[in-house]
Amino acid sequence: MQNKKVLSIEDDKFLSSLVAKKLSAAGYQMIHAANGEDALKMVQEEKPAVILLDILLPEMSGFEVLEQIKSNEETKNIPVILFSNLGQREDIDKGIKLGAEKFIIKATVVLDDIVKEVEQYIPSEGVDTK
Amino acid sequence: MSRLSFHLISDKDNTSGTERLWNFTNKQSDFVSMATHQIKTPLAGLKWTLKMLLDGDVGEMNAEQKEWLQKSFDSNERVLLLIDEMLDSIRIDEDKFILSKKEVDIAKLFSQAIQVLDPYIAKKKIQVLYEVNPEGPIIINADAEKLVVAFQNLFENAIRYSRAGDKILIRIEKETGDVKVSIKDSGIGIPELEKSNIFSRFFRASNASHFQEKGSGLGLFIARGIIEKHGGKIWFESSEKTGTTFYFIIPTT
Repeated sequence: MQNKKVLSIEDDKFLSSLVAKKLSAAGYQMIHAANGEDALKMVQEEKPAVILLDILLPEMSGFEVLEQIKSNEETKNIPVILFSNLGQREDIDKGIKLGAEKFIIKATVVLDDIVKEVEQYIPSEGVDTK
Repeated sequence: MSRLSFHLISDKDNTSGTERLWNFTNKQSDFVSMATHQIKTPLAGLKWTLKMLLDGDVGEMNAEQKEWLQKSFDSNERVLLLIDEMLDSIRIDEDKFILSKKEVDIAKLFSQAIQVLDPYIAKKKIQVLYEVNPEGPIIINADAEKLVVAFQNLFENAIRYSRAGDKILIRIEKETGDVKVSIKDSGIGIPELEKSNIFSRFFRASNASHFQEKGSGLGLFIARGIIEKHGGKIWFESSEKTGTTFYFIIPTT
């Protein structure tokens, strides 16, 4: 059976609830972490198919979380999409250098764009949209 | 500004990830960058919610409800754009505008940038003429993303201050070692006494302020910053009620 798990790492409750609603409606199985430490545990235990990662998080920054995911043999191949409102060239370059698949600036997209992005890693034919 | 950031950092003893990102903060643009991030987070939430409501994701709306929601969505988009423009203008001031240059076909790049504004062009029934001389690719070494911002700011201004049904002529010409771009409108023009202020931040000409269209007053300041950062220059010719032509040249290498 196809892994349909999407891990959203986001400390803003409003934003994470919107992401969860939209992606669940599109048929994905949403799991959520609000800080880096919980997120790394979840990545290890749940092995999500795609990770949406915010950068400004409490305690550990998203860049540090990304670095740890990508330096672990078991998790380094999980696609990570950085999803933040930071978006200066140096932030984007840093994220891509650390191994993120893509850098998406939250305020420039609508959630349909995120669904399309996730679909690239979990094709929709594998998703139950009932 | 740096004093404020110091207080924010020193509020807590144990440094979090967010606060550590604050620690390099000693410039206005860094402070504003962080502040805009914080403002954009709830605005992104608002944007996504309004879009879900408009798309009927949480139940169908009637036409009038949709119309008001669309206005709210557009208004929120304007705020987000204004925030980005303010941040860009501060980064230009502090010379922190970093270019990432590569070879681009400026003729194709600007043709695509025009297409993005198709709905606005159609709404105002503007006729756009696009001339490239010589025809075909014109390759320059530039930051494509930023150059498009500069071009769109000038082009949007031309549309904004044109009357319905007017023509806009965009010309791209290759000169020795440079590319020259001109954007000519037949709109409201710039009053003679105000010409020297036109590239100042937040300046809007008196006839523009009275015109129905909204503008932030940052577009030309940013456009000039981007062109000059590329080693180019920007200027204009204008007469009130007749129209304005903006020109810029940038080196090809």
